[in-house]
Amino acid sequence: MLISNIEVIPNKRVVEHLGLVQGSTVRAKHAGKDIMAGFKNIFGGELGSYTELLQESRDEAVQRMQEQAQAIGANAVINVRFSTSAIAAGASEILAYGTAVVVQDT
Amino acid sequence: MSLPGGNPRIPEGINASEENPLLEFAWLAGALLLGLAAFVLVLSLSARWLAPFIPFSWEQRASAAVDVFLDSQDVQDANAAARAALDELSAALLQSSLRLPVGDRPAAEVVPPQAFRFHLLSNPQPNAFATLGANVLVTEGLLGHVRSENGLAMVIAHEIAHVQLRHPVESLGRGMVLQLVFSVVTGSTDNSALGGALASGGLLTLLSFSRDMELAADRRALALLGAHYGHLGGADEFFESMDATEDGAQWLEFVSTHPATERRLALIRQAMAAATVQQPLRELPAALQNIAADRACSAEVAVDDAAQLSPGACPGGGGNQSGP
Amino acid sequence: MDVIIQLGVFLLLLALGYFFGRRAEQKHYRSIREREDRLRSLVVISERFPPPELLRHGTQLVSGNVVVSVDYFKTVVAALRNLVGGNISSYESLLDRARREAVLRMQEEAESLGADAVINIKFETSRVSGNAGQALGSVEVLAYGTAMIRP
Repeated sequence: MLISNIEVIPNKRVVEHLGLVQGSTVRAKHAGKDIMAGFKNIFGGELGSYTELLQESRDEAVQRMQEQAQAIGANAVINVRFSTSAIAAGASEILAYGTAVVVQDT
Repeated sequence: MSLPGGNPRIPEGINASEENPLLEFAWLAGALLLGLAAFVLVLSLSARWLAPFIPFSWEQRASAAVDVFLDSQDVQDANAAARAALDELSAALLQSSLRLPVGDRPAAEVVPPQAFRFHLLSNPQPNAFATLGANVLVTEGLLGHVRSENGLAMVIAHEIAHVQLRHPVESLGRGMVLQLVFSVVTGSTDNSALGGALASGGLLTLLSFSRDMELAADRRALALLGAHYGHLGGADEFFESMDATEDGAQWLEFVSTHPATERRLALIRQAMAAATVQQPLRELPAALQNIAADRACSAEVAVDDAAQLSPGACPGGGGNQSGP
Repeated sequence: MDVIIQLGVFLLLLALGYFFGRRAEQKHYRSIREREDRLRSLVVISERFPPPELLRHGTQLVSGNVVVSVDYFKTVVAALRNLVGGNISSYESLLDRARREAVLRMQEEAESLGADAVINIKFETSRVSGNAGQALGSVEVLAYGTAMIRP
């Protein structure tokens, strides 16, 4: 499935708009990683486990958005946007949303 | 590129699972409890391993609260003569216990003998216990359940054994672990879980010994009795009396954390049978005898021989003279 | 004794949270589905440019927001999940509801303006202060976009 955050896709033509689709997920790392991250906060640097957490969440959110798009018969999602918010300590919500469309090669 | 006729009908259950949340809760809670159980097990096993290596001076520091409690609660209000008699008997036993090593270390090194403190509580319940700081407590009620010095010596030896085997520390460690875990689980913000327990004197009940500890203490007590008197006569007196008093409530407190009395009695009798030398038992010191007779009457314990010890010694109809 | 009381209170709150929380959630979902059906013809898309058929329409910013609160049962499940790691599904359904509700409110506003569609929709999620602790107390979801109003 084609996922893009632009509206006009080169060499493709949107033949049908299907509407808004979205995927969201709230994930947490296990307590051990939370503690390690706490230590890391002292020394600075990249929090590998949280980078991984957010990436996993984003993948999952996109996956869910695709599922929704597939369920309504789309073959592409365009104009995709992400939104991240920390809703609880150590857990964050990722939202991906876009417009499900049917595209054709021109 | 045209506008759709309407918003799509998107199936449910993609962004929010439709699984019953109770199921997830059960899984998580089960996993957490299992993890906690494993954690507690490991910590309490390590408490058992570590206890013998914890210097006694540390234990004394932790027991300061117990000492204060014992003094403040006026628990030593039994008459001075009886206390002196108990101290004398206990000191003699303690002296003999130094000849028996704990593991491969001399007993005096594990717990210095001068640290021991013996208390006689004017409590009608038959009970005896050892707690932090080498404090050994015997209730007056217990005296009503033994007939000879040997019988009392067995109980004291058992408590000395607890202290020398470092059971109070071990069980304190275990209790702390349990409290810690509990305060984490209930989210209690009271950080002074241990402080509270130590201060309230609830520590006395906090320190419950496991069955294994009781049996180990029994074994050491028998050895001590043999070393002190040269025979094991009278070792079964207290347990026999407890066993005969089928009126549960009275002695439940003492026995509840202890392995089934019969099992311990069997162990003791076995040891007694193995030691063939039988010698006459020593009488209780006079000061203790009076209390013993009082208690035996007031508790209305149907132990025939207890009355014979001092015939007609029930003063003033029931003589319920628990110390003021 | 204290311990037993604490445990009792905990279990009671848990049961109350589960019972009322689940009932409220199911009721909310029913109402969401009903209103989604009713407003199905008011199209919502995330494209920035109006489709050709709407080029003569007027434009107006519309938004819908909602603050939802988590129940005690969900908090406990989430706290447990936080130890183990993984998807916190109890919060996911909360946010799913909140987002759909926000879109519905936005659609309702657009409907009252006489719009045919809402384009360029965007979402904003934020934790509402007032829950001092670390756990989620309540969360606000805002949905906004441009309503295309019939000329």
